[in-house]
Amino acid sequence: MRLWVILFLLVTSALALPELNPLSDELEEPDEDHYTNALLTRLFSKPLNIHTADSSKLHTRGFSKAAARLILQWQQEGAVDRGLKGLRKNMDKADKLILAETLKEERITTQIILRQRLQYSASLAGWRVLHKGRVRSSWGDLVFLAEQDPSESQFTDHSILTFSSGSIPGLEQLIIGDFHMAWGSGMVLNQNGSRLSLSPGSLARMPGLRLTPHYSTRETGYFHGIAARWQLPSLQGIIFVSKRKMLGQLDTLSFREDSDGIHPTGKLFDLHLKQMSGVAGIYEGAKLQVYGAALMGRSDIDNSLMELGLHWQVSQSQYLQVYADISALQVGGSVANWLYKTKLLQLSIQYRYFPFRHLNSMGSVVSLLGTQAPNEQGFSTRVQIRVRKGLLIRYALDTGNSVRLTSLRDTRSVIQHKAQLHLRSSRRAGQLDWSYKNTGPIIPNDVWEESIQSTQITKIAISLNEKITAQLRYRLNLKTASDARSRSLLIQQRILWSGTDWKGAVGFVRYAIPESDLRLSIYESGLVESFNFFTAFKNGQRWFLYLKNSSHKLAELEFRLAQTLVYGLSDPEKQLEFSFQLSIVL
Amino acid sequence: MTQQKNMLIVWRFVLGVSLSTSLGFSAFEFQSVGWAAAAANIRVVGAEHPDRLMINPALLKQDFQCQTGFQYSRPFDGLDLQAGSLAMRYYIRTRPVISGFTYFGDEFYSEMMLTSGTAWSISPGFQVGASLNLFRLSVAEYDTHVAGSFSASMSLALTEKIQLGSVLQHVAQFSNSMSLPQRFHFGAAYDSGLMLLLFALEKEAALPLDVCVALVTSPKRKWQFAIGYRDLSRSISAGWRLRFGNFGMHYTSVINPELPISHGLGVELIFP
Repeated sequence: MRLWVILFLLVTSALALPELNPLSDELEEPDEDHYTNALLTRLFSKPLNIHTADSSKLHTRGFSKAAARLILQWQQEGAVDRGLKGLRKNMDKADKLILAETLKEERITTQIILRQRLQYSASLAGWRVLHKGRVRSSWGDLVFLAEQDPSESQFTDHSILTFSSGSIPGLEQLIIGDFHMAWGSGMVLNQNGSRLSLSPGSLARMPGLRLTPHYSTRETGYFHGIAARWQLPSLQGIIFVSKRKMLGQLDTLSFREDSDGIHPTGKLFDLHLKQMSGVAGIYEGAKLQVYGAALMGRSDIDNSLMELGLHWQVSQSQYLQVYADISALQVGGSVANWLYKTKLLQLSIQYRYFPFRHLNSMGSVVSLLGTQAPNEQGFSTRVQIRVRKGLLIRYALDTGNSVRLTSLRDTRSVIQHKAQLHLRSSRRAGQLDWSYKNTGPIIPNDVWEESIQSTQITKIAISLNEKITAQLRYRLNLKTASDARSRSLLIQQRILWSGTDWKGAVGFVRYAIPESDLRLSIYESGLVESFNFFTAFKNGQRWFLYLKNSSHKLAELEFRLAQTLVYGLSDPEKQLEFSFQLSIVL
Repeated sequence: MTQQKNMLIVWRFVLGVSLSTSLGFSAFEFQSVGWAAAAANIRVVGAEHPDRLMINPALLKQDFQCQTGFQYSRPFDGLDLQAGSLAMRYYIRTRPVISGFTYFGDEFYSEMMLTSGTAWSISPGFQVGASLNLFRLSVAEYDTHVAGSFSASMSLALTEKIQLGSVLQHVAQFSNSMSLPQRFHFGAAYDSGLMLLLFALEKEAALPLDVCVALVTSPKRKWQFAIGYRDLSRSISAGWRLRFGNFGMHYTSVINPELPISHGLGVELIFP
């Protein structure tokens, strides 16, 4: 404990500084969702028209409040005639960069991006081969993807061909192919792009409807068919029809889609054809938004689901959201969110009540008891305090309990605390994370199924990021997780550099993970870069080298070499990993 | 020797059946026909040659002289197997096109392929290619299978000396009776002026990755020599090519540690 206190003091005493950029930083725990969502948001954010954008669009784009005010003022005073010179003059450096990027995107009429990736997975003893591309034109975006995981027999085991257009008269957007949608609370529909984090905003739902082409290697949770989004002055809506083949396994309760998407030759999978259609709409008043959606799907449990909700801006700093879902067979659940947001303080509270869980829904609302739990209720809260410029404190509390007891399994409850301290100055940044999770009681089935091994898990992570020169940075990460029986430990050191043509990282990780419940993940390259994180198991060490070359005007080459040494009872097992990606941008 | 030959055919079928897809997975394994066979059979990058263009049409220049090449090979000498190809690059109006025919087999077993491809220049130094392929596989006393496929490829001049290329063969297929093995080729070529160094990674979808390296001497001179090595089959290849005026000829040899040596001869004609 003394060591933690000393380390904490070392980290905190050295720091103080400016605004954080959550997209490029590693504030959150790494996982595949975090990476995919960040990448999709970046790739498919619609080009902004600087001449017509309103304040919310400018804010979403990343402009500071001062810059947004300048742009709005500039628009009102006759943007086209005066040009951009005066506008740039009054902006700070960060806003100027965003403006330059925005104007560049506006000018692009046709763009082609092609990517090919070869990746050797040591743990799966095979190659992952990925081809993807995107053609952006004035007609719309055409995206394609073909991927083969290790042990699969075809390069096109997972393939996508999707067209998305914003040029169809009468429609804001039309997608034909594979796509994701975001609407409502996530109770009746999956919510690609939402991820629960320590940020208070992550509990609340973004009002509005979103359509995004499916463009990742994730083989679950997307739709295949046609979807359209339209927008009237105070009304917007989405309608879609989907029919998709899903590979997975049929257990005693229901069909479960194969989550990792690896379909090895020879293994038997159940093929499930899922038909679904839906419609959603939002009425947008000045301070009140009313939302309604209906989802009709052919499934074993339910044929139709409905969701209703409202988003009320109570005051300049307060929002209230209430969502409820109703199915044809059962009374559904409800979610209520309250969000308070000022410059210094952000606070959010959520209450969830699901007397019956739709086993076939792909909802991504908070679920502490697991998606297989038949019912659940819980409470969550998030607090974020920006004490001063460069000092951020976050706290989160999540609880999950059964609404009613139908089996011994339903006696389980979960409580989880998380806290985070983040400090940043012009030369260095530091982060301290602490979490405690208590799950219980353990029932005989858990032991039999090995589903829960620990009732109390405490995790601590310390990160120190030091800017050595303009091109060179050093990063130290120390993570630990412990339960009543054992403790896992991970220490990673990274040196990152970025020059004109080259960018890279070299690092070493030493870890000891005695049980899978205590596994730890760590970033190796940046959040939106390829091959970015590693999850440690067992006892071992690992070094890695990541290089990115952008010297050619069209091509970008990314390369990673890593060797993991896993210690066991006999000789250490060596696992060599190799990853290569060629990107061509025209 | 006849026993060895029969074993070769038997193992071809055993492999096909064990992959439990179709006969197609056992087919088209022998590609070592033509000048590229001397350079570890790397066809994804390298000097423009009709047999290479049949796999990667993105290597087609937009401005060239029409050329035809005929090659004949005796795979695994002594097994009475034969392989051959006839390839031609030409224009249809102003579009560069490569078309060719390949054969491998004997009186019991035969594989035939017809292919036609073209290239588009997207940006200076960057070309994409596409080809349509038609395959026919026949085994005496069994049904004959036919399949069509589409392949996509690209070529990028990274610098004046470094070239990258990739091919995804049979990405889309049209057949009810046969499934063709998808292959991915990725390669890089470094031209030092005196020598051309070729490196390629080739992966058939259901098989491990094959690493290939080759060296071609004096690629722009009258006499050329090539040597190569393929990691998966542990085969070594070598050969020479002689060019004088509009005529050219080559000899290739592939040594596989567990099979008899393969010999190949070819002639080329460039139309003025």
